[in-house]
Amino acid sequence: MAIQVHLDELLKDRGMTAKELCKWVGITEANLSILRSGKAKGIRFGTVNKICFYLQCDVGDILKFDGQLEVDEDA
Amino acid sequence: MNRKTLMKLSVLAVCSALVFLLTSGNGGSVLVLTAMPFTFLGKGLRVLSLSGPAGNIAAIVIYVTVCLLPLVLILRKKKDKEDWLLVLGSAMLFYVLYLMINPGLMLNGMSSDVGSAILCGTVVSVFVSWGILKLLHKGETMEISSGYHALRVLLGACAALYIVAGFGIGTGELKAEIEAVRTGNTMPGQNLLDTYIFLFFIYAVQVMEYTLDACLMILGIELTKELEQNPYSESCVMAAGKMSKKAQGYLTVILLSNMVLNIAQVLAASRLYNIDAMVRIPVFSVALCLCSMALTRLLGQGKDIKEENDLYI
Repeated sequence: MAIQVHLDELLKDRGMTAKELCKWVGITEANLSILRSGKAKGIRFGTVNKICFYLQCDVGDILKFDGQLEVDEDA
Repeated sequence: MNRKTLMKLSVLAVCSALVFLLTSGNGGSVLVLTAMPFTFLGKGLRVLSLSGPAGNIAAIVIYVTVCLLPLVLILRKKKDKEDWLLVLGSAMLFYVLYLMINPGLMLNGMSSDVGSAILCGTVVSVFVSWGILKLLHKGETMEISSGYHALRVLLGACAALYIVAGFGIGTGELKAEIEAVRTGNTMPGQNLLDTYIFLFFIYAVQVMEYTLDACLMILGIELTKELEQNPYSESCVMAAGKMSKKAQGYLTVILLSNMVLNIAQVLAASRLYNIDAMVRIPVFSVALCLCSMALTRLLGQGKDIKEENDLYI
């Protein structure tokens, strides 16, 4: 994935468990697992907003671009 | 189809076949059966009316009340456009019931049992049309679970009607046709066996067509249960696929048997004393098959879209 999700580090820094984050954000643990593993196709603005709010971080802290162009298989 | 449903359909098939076989019934007798409540009510009101002045007043009150009953639904605050059909129904009830009470006033050609059955059938058709239009209208705003429930009832009723039409009316008509061939061909040396066999062949094909379509409707009922639980689930798509596969198989059997029937009739025409002038094309079965195929594809696409959508967190 050209866009990498850095949730694990953020959770560790904030001392919060994945379960707690799910509870605050209102998503299932299965969905959070999809997001953390990089298998998610997209993330809604609402979800990013809640994650940033509860983890007190910026969007760029969660999602990082690795400089590569990824070809969309479905396109 | 589970064993319980199969049992119910079998019992219905045997009972309807027996009823139509023992009562010499056919399609026309279904119409007479539809008219029965009206003819009974008409006769009853006539007897009541002739019993004396008090009886006459009671008969008039009952007559007016019964004819005005449909209008009660129009008096409700919330009316739909189709409810105005009830005004027509009420007016027709006044006319038809009056004729049932006074059969002497009926026009020539309408005085027989079938004539009065046609009159009453017309009234019933107005109320049935109102009911169907109402269902269509309510269907737009109906809750999903109620919609599936209504669909199940409708499919079940259609399947039962198809079984009665195939085994009941079909058996009655077979009996009537055999009787007509027997009584109309009394010359010595006439071999009617081929005609009887052919009549039974037509009957078997018709019964099979009705039965297979009824089975498809039962599968439709099972599919609605899956749709109600989760329309995007694998089991739902599989149930739709199963229905679609069966629909294709059934249609193939129906089309081939109808084709064989048409060809056999042409080949054996010289030996038959009864020719069926209809060339059979099972339009309803074709429509049912195409609908189930389209539904399967649609559900499959819906499942894929749902799975993709689930990857958007």
